[in-house]
Amino acid sequence: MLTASIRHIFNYASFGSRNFHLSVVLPAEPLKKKKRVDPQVELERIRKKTRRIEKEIKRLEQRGRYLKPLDEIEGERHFIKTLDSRERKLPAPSQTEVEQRALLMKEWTRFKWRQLDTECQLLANQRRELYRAMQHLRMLDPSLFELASQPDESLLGLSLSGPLYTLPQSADVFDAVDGDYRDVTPTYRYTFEVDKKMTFGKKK
Amino acid sequence: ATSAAVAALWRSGSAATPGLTRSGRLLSVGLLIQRKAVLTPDLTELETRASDLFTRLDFERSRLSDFELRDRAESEAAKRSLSAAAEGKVQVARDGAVITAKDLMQRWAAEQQAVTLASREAADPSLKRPAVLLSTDADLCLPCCPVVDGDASLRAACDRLLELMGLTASCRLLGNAPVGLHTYKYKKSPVSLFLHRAIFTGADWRSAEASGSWKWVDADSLPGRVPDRRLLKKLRLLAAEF
Repeated sequence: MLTASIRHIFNYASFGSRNFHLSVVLPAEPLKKKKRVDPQVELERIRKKTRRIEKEIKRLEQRGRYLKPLDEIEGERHFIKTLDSRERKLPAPSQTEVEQRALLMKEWTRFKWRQLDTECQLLANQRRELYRAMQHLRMLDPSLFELASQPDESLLGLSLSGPLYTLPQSADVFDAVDGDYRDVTPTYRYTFEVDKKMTFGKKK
Repeated sequence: ATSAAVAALWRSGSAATPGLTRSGRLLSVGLLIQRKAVLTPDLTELETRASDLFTRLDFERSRLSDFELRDRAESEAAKRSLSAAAEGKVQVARDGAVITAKDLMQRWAAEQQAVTLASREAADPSLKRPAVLLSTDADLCLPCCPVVDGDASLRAACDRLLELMGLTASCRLLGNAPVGLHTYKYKKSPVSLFLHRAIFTGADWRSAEASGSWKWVDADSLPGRVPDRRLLKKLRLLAAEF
């Protein structure tokens, strides 16, 4: 449309004899002149890039992905955007209910403090008993004391489970399903194949 | 092995297995084999009330989940369509092929009713508390044995005792150091009994009682099984539950 309007102006302004002409419409920037590149330099550049990428992949595979620090986690945007619509509209508790809750919280706090105090005392007494036993052992036999002072390496693999809420059901009530267990957890493995032309082996 | 065999080992003092003595005291090791609680203990009245309060507070402070949002939207849509149908504007289709959130909730409730938990009341109440393995022999309460020349350390003596009891596979000794000391006199000879802690890790706690020589005893029943008051006090301290 712009070209037509300009053409219209030129036709009626008798500028045709002054060698004004319109070039082809250029929707994009003209291409830059291609520079001559040394193929060796170009190959070296590609090789360095692939080496850098391979190194990064190897590092990631060895160490795994770095987790984001907790301070930087902002949460899911979907939930943040819909936060207002997700409010629970419940009636406010009555004055009596609020007072009962406050009294229960006080009673609970006192109970837990007493429990903590008892446990700290128990731990201190157990530690004192252990110390007494080791002192007595050192007095009786220093070599046995030295051996008893060594750390126990076998504790590292110790794992305990329980307690449970109920005892396991008997076989006539609940029969566990037999069968093979197939782990279908999806795993992703990144592989990077470098074109052999790009690699010339190790540099001498 | 039976507790009688362990007791005999303890009483023997024969030339075949002479106990190690240092400064005129006979060295021996005892095992405090503990079993953790199998069932969760019952909550007290205060704990129940506090648990209910915290559950209620968590609910009040929480936001609606995706499922609850869906349920709310579907309920409002259903009300609107019903009111529109009552005014004669829209015809409500009775046969809906869409599964609503309420349908899913009803399905889950039905599935939950089909599940029946095992009864806690029928279980032995002692399973709700940790226990210690004691001997049924009157002369011997804790499994113990003298330290001999062949034992490289106290830990080695404990391993030997576990092997004698047949519990090597189902018990784990915790640490090389003794956790307690009990001194007493046996036939006018002073004895230093070093107590080591072990934990029962076997799948079935009843297997330890199968021979009839050992029995799991909880903290309340200890006074009846341990006549020595000083040892009883130590066992209560070391076997205390947290």
